Amino acid sequence: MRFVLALCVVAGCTLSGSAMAGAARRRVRLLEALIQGIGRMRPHMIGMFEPVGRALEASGCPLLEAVGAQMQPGVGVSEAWAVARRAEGRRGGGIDALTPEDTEILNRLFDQLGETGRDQQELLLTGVSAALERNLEAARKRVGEADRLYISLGALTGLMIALILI
Amino acid sequence: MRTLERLEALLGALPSGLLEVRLRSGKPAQYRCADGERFGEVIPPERLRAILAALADHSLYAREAELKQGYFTMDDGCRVGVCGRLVCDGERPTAMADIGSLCVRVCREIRGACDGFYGALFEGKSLRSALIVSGPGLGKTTALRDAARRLSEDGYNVCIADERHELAACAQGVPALDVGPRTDVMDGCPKHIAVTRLLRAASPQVIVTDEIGDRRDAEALQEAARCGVRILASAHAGSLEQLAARRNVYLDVFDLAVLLGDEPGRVKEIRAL
Repeated sequence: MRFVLALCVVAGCTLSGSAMAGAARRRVRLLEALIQGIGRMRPHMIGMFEPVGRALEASGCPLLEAVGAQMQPGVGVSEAWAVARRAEGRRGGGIDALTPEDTEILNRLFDQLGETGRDQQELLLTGVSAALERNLEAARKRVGEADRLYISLGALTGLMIALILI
Repeated sequence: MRTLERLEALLGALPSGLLEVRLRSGKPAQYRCADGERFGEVIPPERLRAILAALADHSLYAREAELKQGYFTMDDGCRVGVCGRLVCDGERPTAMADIGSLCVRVCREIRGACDGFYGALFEGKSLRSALIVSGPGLGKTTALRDAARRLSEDGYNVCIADERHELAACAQGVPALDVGPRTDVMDGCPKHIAVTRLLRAASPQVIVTDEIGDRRDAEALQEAARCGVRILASAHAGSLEQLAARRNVYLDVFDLAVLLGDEPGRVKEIRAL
C-alpha cells in the first residue's frame, strides 16, 4: 500500500513539474501566434489600406482580434490594447504567459499602430516582428530547459516524499 | 458607423439640419446648419488630433495619400477637409503635419435634386452631355448623384468615376448611396484613369464624374465622348463666363451647361454650349 502511495506521489510531483513548464510552452505558442498574426495583418494594412481595426480582426491571432474588437470611434488602438491587456493579463488569461519584455514590445506596437504613414507602419510591423522573433528563439530554448528542470525537480521532490513515506 | 454618429460620439449632441462642421485648434466648434450657424465648445489641439484619428479609423496610413491632397472621404460620402502644415518635397506634397483645422461636409442624398434640369438632358429621346457648374457648397455633387440614379433607373448603363468616394460612397465595393440599379462605380483613383478603364471594362452609355479641372480628366472625357458615351460632370465656377476661362475644362465635350446658384440645388441657368 505504501509502495503504491509512493508511486502516486512521484507521478503527481512529476506532473506538477511538467505543468510548471507549461507556462513557457504557452509563451512560445502565444509568440508564434502573434508573429503569424502580424504577418497576416500586413497585407491588409500596407497592401489594401484597410483600417487597423479590420486588419487586427483579420489577423487570426486571438489576442490581436481582441484588441481590434475593442476599437470604436473614440477608442484608439492603445486604449483598446489597455482594455484587452487588463482582461487577458489576469492569471489564466490569454497573455499571462508573456514576460514583461514581450509586453513592452506589444506596448510599442499598439502605441504607434495606425498613427503614422504607410512607410513608418511597415517599419513598425517589421521591427516588432523581428523583436518578437528574437524573444521566440529565447523562449524556445527556455522551453527545453524548463521542461528538464521542472520535471526533474518534480520527480526528485516526489521521490523524497516517497522515501519519507516508506 | 455613419459620420454624424461618429461626430456625435466625439463631440456630443449635434444640432439638427447640420450641413458642415468646422473644427479649429483652440477655437469653438462651428456648426453650419440649414437654419443658420451655431458655435460649440472650444476644441483643444490634442482633441482635434484625436478627432482626426477617430474619423480616419485610427488608420492614418490608409488616408495618407488623400491627406496629402488636403481631404479624405468617409465611408458614407462625407468629406473631411484638413488644414495644417503641408510638407512638400519641391512641388510634391509628402505629408500633412501639425493639423490646425478640420472641415466635415455632411453628405446629403436628396432625391429630386436634379429635377430642375433633368428634362433638359434630353433632346427628344436622345440624351445630351451636360456640365453642372456652381461655386462650392451649392449642391453639384448631390445633383450629379441624383441625375446618375435617375438615368440608371430610366434604363441607361451609368458608370461613375468617383475619385473622392463622394458620389457613390462605396464601402468594400458596394455603394452606400443610391446611384441606381444599372450603375457601375470605379473609385479611389484619378478620374482620367477611372474613365479610360470604365470605357474598356463596363461599356457605359453615360459616364458621371465630379469636379473636373485637370487637363488629363478633360482629355479622358473627350476620348469617351468620341466613343459615343454621354458625359455628366461637374466643375467649379461662379458663372458660365468663368467656366469658359478655365483652360482644363473642354467645353466641346458637353452639349449644355447647368449653372446652380443663389441657394443650394437651385438651377440658375441652363445654356446650350
